[in-house]
Amino acid sequence: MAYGLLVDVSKCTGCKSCVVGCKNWHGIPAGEQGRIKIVDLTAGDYPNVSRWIFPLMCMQCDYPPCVSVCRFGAGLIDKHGIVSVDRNKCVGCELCTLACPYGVRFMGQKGKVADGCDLCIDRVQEGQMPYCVDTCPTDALIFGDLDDPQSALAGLIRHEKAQPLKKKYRTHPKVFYVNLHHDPSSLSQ
Amino acid sequence: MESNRVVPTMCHGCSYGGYNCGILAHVREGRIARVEGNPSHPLNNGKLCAKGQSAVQWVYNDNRLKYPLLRKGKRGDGNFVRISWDKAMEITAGHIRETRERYGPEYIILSKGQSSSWGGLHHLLWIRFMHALGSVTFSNWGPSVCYAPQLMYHKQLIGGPTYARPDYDHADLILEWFTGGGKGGPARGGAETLDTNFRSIPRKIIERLKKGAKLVIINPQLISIGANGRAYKWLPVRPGTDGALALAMIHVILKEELYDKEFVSQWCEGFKALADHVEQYDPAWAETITGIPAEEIEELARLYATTKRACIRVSEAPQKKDLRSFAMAVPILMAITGHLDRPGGNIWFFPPGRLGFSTLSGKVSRTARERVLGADIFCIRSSGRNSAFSHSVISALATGKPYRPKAMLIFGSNPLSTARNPRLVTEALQRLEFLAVVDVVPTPTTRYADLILPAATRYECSYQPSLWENHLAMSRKVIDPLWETRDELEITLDLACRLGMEQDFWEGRYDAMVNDFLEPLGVTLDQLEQHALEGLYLPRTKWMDRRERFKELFKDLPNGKIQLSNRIVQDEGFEPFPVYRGEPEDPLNAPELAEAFPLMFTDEHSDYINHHSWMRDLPWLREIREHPVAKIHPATAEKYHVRNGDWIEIVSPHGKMKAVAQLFPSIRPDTVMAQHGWWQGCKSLDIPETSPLEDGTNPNVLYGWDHMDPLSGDITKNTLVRIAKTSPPERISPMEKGI
Repeated sequence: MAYGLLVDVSKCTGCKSCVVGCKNWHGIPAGEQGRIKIVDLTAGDYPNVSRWIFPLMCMQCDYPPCVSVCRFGAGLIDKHGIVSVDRNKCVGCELCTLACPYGVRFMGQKGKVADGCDLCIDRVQEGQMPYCVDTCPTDALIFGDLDDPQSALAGLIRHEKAQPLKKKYRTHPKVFYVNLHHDPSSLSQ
Repeated sequence: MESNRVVPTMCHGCSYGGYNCGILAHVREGRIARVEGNPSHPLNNGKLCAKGQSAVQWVYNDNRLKYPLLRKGKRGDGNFVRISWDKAMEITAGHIRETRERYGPEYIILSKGQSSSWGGLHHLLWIRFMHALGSVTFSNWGPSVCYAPQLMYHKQLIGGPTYARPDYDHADLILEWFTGGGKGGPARGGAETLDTNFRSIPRKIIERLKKGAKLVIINPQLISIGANGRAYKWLPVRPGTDGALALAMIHVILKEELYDKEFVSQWCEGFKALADHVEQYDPAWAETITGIPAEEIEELARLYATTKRACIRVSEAPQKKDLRSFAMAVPILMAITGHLDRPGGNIWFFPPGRLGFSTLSGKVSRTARERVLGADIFCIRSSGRNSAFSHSVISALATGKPYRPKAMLIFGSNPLSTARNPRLVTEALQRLEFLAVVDVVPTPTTRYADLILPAATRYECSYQPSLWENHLAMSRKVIDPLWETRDELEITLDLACRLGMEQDFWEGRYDAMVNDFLEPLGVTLDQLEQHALEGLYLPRTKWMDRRERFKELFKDLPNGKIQLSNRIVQDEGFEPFPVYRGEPEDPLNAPELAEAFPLMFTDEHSDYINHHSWMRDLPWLREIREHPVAKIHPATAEKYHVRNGDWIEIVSPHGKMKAVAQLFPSIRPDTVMAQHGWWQGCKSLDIPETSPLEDGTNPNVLYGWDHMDPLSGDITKNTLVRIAKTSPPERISPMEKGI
């Protein structure tokens, strides 16, 4: 079993419900980056523009640089591939936040401990969806088991030719994007 | 109350009192720890928007008003002392009693804002309260310039009790015409509307797009619902010129005979005269006005006329002096193409019943009704003088003409930030002998109050039932009111009893009032409370689901027919057709002015993270956008040496405001678009409050107060400006809260 996420960009309106909802559910204070951020890019010249808005969160890499760079054993990968931080071991060196090619690791708890999306591991263990998946007003996020070819997630990724962002880093993310017709390599950190 | 529990209630975000998203509030040790959407609530199905998600910060907000406060010192200085509720209520009752006896009931004004929903329990109770006093001087700042004016024209032309609303669920073509596209509340319809049928706009639109529908965005900016490849077309119309676009579409449809001949001959009057009139409005003419190429206008007209299931959503946003041309042309478009009350078109939605109790309108004296402020405006005069016109109330207070009201109660409204001409509003408010403001947080308006009363949030208030389609749901108290805050309904009942009107106000008993409110539906408070989680579903009526109800819907129109040539407008001395005039402050209408003020300016009202003039002090929302922004095209910014994030001054012929430049490639380069409602600071993020007046952050200082449509009272939201880099606005010291 390998948990993953699909972002259907054609359904995202950039409403920030996931961004604020995640902070609400996990009690993350304002002033911290938070586990989800929204990218809003425009390509082309007026009036022939093409505007793209979508969320970024921990990409749940199979080869996560944040885990590799941690010298304190605080980077965790559980048996289902979920990447998270062992808060007891993290010393707050911030190295993982620099190593993440997606800029989605941040320092939480007033800068003391690294933090990032863990796909709401506590909810998932109780058979629920990650909070953002449940709360997204337009159902732009789909959660499931990548190893189960029958799962809606795996089916969608296969049929819709979903791709992770920034494949060139070869970290093998388990978060996929579909209907994003914009070159994601131009994403700034 | 148990200290750990999950309480089903409704969101406070878009409004209170009305039908909102269902919320499950998780209480831990007596405190709301977090909220989530209620999956059993059919409006949001467990979803929530960013504003709803911030509930905890809305309730546990140190910035809240906590105790009744009495003014000490000069009005506007913001110095207050804490007093008891009993004393506060006695003072208020005393002023109302005295004003009524000395001057007459019409000298008392009650005003509400968007916060308590339109037509909900609060709204009805306040109208009843005013009627019981003998007054109709109920005044709303907002709808006078947004919802009501367009509705007035729509009703005159095509009938119906409300707007003919887009039937998104079945549409194959959706025209979002200067709307926020559901931005106000993406889990529902949002703050931008009270039209209760089209909640969950983004979701509905996206579902239709997945089934092959087309989305056209008509807006100076590409709104986010049109991003991510969703817009089939974006037509970046010059702000304020939508009427010309609509007229040219009518021209094309008639010329190419794309109209619904059967519908027109059976249900419309004045077709031939309209056809002659629009002959002049060809697409080439409209191109020069709107900036949209003629062939694109032709294509849009053809697409709309020939798509069987096509709907138009016009929001309240196109506020104009020349509203008449737009607000008459759009319903004409819907009518001649046969898109009215047909699946996927613009249809009338009806609930299976109504909530409510009598508003006791018989208690209003004839004198008070005759003297209602704003009766010179057609929309007030023609609708039975049932409420005052806010613009006229402000003028009457400032000038004393025709008379100067003496006492005013404001519930959840902040006209200093949301009404046009805030300087005049301050002058008006200072002319009052007594002003009480009830609100959740101190606002620029509370500074001018004699008495400030702290309101409880919906999470701290008792039962508020509401109806959406056939779903009856109710919010309920999650925690007891914090500090000394109090439910506004209880405040009103208390006040009514102190004024000796207890027999008309259920002897002050809250539950009796709610039962009376529910009575028309044959449901009791106890029955409804037994279905706290999922609410009650009333049986759907055949009428609700029938379409093409032309005979019934048009019955109040002359001859029971749609008025393509509008006699009512004609009787008022205007052309019976939409005649395009454009906005007075537009480079085409005022070329000399445009030399000094070369850019077009307007502002947007709906947003994912704000609601009109509230919620800027919720840190989770405020960190997303720290300062008021003005969207500017990068090429324009470069021309004025402005970089992203720079503070700029925006100067119009009427005033000056400041905003942070947001370089936005998806906007017309000749247009600057700001947002209204900015003034509030955010203490925990160390962001100071700013002024709603000159040099502050309020777009309302930029507009011409007199640029008003004489029939509907709509005031323009268009002007011309110049911009330059500047310093941040002056910090305003927070109001002394008397703690």
